[in-house]
Amino acid sequence: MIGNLPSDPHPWSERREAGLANTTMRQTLGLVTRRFSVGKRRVFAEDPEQEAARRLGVEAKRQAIANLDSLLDQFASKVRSNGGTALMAGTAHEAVEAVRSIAATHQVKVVVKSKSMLTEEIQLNRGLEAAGLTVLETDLGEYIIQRAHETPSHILAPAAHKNRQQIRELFEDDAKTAGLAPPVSDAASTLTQYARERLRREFLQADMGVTGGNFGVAETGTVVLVTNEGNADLVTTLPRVLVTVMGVEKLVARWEDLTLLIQQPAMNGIGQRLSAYTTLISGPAASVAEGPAAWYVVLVDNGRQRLRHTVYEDVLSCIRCGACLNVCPVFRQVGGHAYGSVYSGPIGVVETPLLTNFGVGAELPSVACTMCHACKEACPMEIDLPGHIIRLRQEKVRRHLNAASLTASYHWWSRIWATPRGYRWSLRWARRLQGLYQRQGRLVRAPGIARGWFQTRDMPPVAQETFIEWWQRHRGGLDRERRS
Amino acid sequence: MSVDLKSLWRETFRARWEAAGGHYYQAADREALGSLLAQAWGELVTGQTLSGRVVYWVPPAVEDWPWETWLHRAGAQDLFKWDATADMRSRAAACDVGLTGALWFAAETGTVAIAQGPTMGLLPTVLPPVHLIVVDAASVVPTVQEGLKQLQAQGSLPPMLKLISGPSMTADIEGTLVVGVHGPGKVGVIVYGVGDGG
Repeated sequence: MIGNLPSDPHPWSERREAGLANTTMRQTLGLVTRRFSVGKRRVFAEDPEQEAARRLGVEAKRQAIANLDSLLDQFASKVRSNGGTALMAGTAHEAVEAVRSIAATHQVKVVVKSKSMLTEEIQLNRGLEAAGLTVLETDLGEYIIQRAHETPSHILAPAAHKNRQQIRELFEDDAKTAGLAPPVSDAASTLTQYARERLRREFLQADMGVTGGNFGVAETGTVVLVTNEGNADLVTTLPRVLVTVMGVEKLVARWEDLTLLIQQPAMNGIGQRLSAYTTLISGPAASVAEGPAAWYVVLVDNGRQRLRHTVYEDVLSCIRCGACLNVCPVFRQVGGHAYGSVYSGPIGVVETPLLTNFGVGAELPSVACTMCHACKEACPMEIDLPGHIIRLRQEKVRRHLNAASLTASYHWWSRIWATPRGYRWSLRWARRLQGLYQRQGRLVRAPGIARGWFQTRDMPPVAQETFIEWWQRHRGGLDRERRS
Repeated sequence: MSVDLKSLWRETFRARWEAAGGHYYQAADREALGSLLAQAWGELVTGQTLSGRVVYWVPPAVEDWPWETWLHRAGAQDLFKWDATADMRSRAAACDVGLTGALWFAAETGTVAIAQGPTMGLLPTVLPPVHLIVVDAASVVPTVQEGLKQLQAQGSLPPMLKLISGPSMTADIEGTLVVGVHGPGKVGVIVYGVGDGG
């Protein structure tokens, strides 16, 4: 089944310019992505045995994708025998309907959520709000952007594009509606304290908690959540109903596989050995005085299983650590919103068009990658991100997804430059025409498809005589000297 | 397992736990626990505008130790022992300090594992702004991997297991690190039985 992802109606050029113009976002992203990458290098250097665990973890993820059908059955029956309910959702729409009907069954009014990219992907909040429910994000960054009616700009730092003054203003408005005292300053600690108090009330009143899932263990029916704020701990412990919405690709076969992978998101994404709060849920509360009375796990496909048995299969191993975003030179400049959907950075470039069969983000492989290969080096799950980006570009040509003029230009360009003769011919023409495009001895403009390249660059003009031409003129002379 | 190895693991745990912002105390024997609790209270609770209400449970093996006396002496006002039949939600929400036991603690990541059970609630670990954890020195493991393997080998898993590796924190506002978001901003581990050859 083809997946459905949210899509920003603005074209790439506008999204890109908006990202480049947002100095707050670029400063914050520069700071956090660097901190994350430096931290990652440090933890792997200090604990070299973690590299072995990572390698085995990659194997476990690959195996799990290969056996996904039987793992899904095993996981679902294990969740049931633990006292929970497992549901399958083929599409985003089915997933939202499943959560809505759970909410209706349990007469839920207020929902608290911990951060989940999948619920962004299926636009769960919109679906629940349309059914008359109040939905509150509890991750600090997510809470900020929910107040601003925006979407995350980084998987791990969703509000990286907002500065303290903007956040204070949002919270001042929020305090009025909630009848609370507004934050007294724009210090990060004061704003955080405000969110703590504001959300604590909601936590205690909420009927239903919604979480994502970082890993699911088929052998034991366990769902694993990682957070640093501790909000997932409240979401999973306070409301009477708990719903876990998780992609089908999150499953691993055995408990032992989990032990190999559990540290990988934090180690690779933020350079921590383990998130401050990691929660392993294996069932609803049976005989304890806390925790949900009912637990549901909604397993969402939304275009994922279509990728199995294709060259793109390894994409399903992604653990959403964010390591590829942190090292991507394009991401660090334009930020997450420029990618026009939920997933940003190199994994977004690959996954958005793949999940939607080029329905969303078809432009991304062509425009949002410099082919530097930093993501391939960074990915702990060894996903061939740059290779996939090239394959997606080829796929676009085969499917005629590029503008006809662009395809024609590249076609002629590649034909001409495929032979030395064609290349030299093009140089002769360039030499003849370049006079029109020079300033102070540099080539600063060009016509046609090369125009965009010169927007931020210049280059030396073609020499009046190239080395090859010079050589051909003189080699004859040398040969004559040798012979004599 | 040689004693030296375990004390080495405890040292690694201490370094990593403190690097993450946690506090660490270890008691050579039972008698030292009372004064250590007082010290921890002084460093983590005193000075904050807290009223000194405590919700607590301790590991079954040490339940008969005089915890309430020690806590009162340290400065606690009201004490609520975990009671599966009472409304622990509102009680834990009104408390300033949660004191709990733990299953094991892991050196490499500086992690404490706490399992949910009828006499062991998880709300005291997240609702109060201060969380104190008492744990047996002998329960130290080298890694989270090892601790999780042991847990599975024991048979049934708890409905919920929590791995805590430092205080609740965020860097969501301009990348500035802030502790104490939704969970506790102060976390302290008190290891007992160090002198028992654990």
